[in-house]
Amino acid sequence: MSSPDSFSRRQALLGAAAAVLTAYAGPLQSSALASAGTAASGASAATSPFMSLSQMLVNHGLNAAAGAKMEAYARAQFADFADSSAAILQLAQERKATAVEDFYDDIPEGPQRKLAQWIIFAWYSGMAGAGKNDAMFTYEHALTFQVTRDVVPIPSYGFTAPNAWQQLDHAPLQPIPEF
Amino acid sequence: MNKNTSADVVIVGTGVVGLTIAEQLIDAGISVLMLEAGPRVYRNEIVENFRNMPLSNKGSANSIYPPRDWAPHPMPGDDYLQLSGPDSYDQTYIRYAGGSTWHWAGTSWRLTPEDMRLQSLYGVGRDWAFGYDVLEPYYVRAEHAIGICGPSDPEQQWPRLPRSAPYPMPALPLSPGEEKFTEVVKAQLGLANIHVSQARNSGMPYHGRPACCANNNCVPVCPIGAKYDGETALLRLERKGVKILYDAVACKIESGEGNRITAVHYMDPNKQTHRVTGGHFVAACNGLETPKLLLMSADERNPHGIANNSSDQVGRNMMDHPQKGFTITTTEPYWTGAGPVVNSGIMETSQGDFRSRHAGAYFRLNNFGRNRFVTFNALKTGKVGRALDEEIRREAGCTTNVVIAFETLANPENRLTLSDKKDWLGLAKPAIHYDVGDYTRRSADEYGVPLLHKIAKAMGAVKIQEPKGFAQSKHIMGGTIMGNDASTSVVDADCRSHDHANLFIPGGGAMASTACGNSTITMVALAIKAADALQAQVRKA
Repeated sequence: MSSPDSFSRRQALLGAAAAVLTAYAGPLQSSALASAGTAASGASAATSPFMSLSQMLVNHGLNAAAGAKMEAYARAQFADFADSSAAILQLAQERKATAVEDFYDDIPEGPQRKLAQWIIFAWYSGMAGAGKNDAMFTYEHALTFQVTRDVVPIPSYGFTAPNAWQQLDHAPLQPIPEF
Repeated sequence: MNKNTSADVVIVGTGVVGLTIAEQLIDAGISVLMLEAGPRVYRNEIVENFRNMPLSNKGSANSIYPPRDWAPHPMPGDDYLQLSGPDSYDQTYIRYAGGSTWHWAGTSWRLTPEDMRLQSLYGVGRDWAFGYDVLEPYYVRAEHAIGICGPSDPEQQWPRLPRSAPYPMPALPLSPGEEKFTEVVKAQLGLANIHVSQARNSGMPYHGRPACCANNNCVPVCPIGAKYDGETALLRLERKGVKILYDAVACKIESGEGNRITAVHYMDPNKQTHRVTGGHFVAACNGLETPKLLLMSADERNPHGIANNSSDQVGRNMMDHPQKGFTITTTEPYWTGAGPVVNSGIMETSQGDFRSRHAGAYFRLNNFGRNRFVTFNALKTGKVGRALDEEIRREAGCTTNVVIAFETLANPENRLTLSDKKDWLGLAKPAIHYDVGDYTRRSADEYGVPLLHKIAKAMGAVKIQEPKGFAQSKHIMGGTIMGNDASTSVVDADCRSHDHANLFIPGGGAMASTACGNSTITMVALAIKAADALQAQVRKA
């Protein structure tokens, strides 16, 4: 899925994340974060650190408003959020990761793995958990719907003109739409 | 006459039956006063409820309709319905203005002539008070009244019999998954998966509603109003001047001289009781709530409840379409989700001489988009990145839900009574004892489930997940059953109470048999038949 464009975007995001994470990561992470920041000095300082972390864990374009809700939730629910975030980003940077597959298996079990899993879960489901009363961050931008966007509408949002869905073909499982 | 307290006709309930009758009467110049237990709500509110509902709950038919304190309806995990018996009559309905039309799928299968003569042909169940030839013109009127689209090809129609008029709109297209399903069951099993006739606008606006645009959200709410639901009808009726009292919970039907109905009493959200009067009355407030209201209204003249003196059949014969939903996994994708949530079905399996031994069965491939059901499973695999995308896409494309819906027989022991448990207003909760019966169980064991496995094999199934027991279809029928004999039925062929000449009780409760197809179109046909009789009776009075 990665392209030259997404490579450069990810590198830039990694740098931006490092720069901003210093605001909450604390002195223990300062060395790694400084290093990462140097690698991408041209990145936008306005990029959210949570979005930067998310971009490393999810290989797709992400919605910032949904990400802001997730970040607020994660800060409140994960006591080790700052440390784990910085550690995951440091690992990604060490692996010169351009996609989650490049470093995910090396994220250690424990708080870091738990946070990484949760962030992926939140982006794909739009939810904090699978329960009927769990917090919801987004419906429309939950990535599960993007995976099938060529053949299945997001329920309640139509994707065709009247009766035009008869023009849909039997879509194959591959390729997966770009999003 | 104060239009807030009296009218030529008082109608209890603003679901599809009450609204259909009200519109016919008001168009004929007859004054109508309607009582609705629940609130008046608008589509935008309900759609936002859906979009803000957690993904894990988006498959729920009623969670976006929280009941008001004074008008409870069944919700997941609650005890509003007091259930007993071998099977659970665990129904869903909505006590809002517009009733359960909010969350019905729009599916509109007609009965067949055989469906209406079970006793004569197969020696089981009950015959109707009249034949299909009587009902057919009312079906046509129902199809035009609520906007039902359907195929023009006779081979695609149900039943495959001459119609007195075409559908007002053509059939809706099938989704890729439905097309594929249709091909494989025909090629390998010789079964015809045909277009559902459905109350949804096909390719054109109709009755102030837009064309369906494949929002795939008919259940729990159509976001654009392409499907018939009460909201569109309510807007039209309100413009025509029908007086509707919302949040008005009918609690007693009052009888008077000659055992004519004289008034309906209702409670408001402040628990104050009011009384409305009229010349004629219609009780159409849901297949469970109507018999409950009749039983609650027992008085000295009618000690067993209104409309219940002659037969003691009010609340008995509760029926439904017990169903089994199978999740079938294939290696090649089917892709459900484009178009309406129910868009085709195999109906010919509901007919046959086997009905002397067991029930018929109707098979359908549900056309819900699968993401809401498979996302959490895919995430549980622990996959990430491209592998996760592939897993979600595979599960969304290669899992399907195929449902068998069975018929049931009228059985007086399947009975609604008044619980000693009370609701917020102090009114009795409905208690329902229910057993789907051996006739239906035999169908599942000997016929439906074995045939389902053949269908799954034809589809290329690599995994079949079979449910335990039966789920309910929310097609509530039988509680005020129709017949020509006042000693064994509650209403006559016009849905008029045998016991009260000015009380009509139309709807699913009047149905003497269920067949396998969804009940609403028959409810509307009966409503129109009742409205004709009511109109003539009011004129005569």
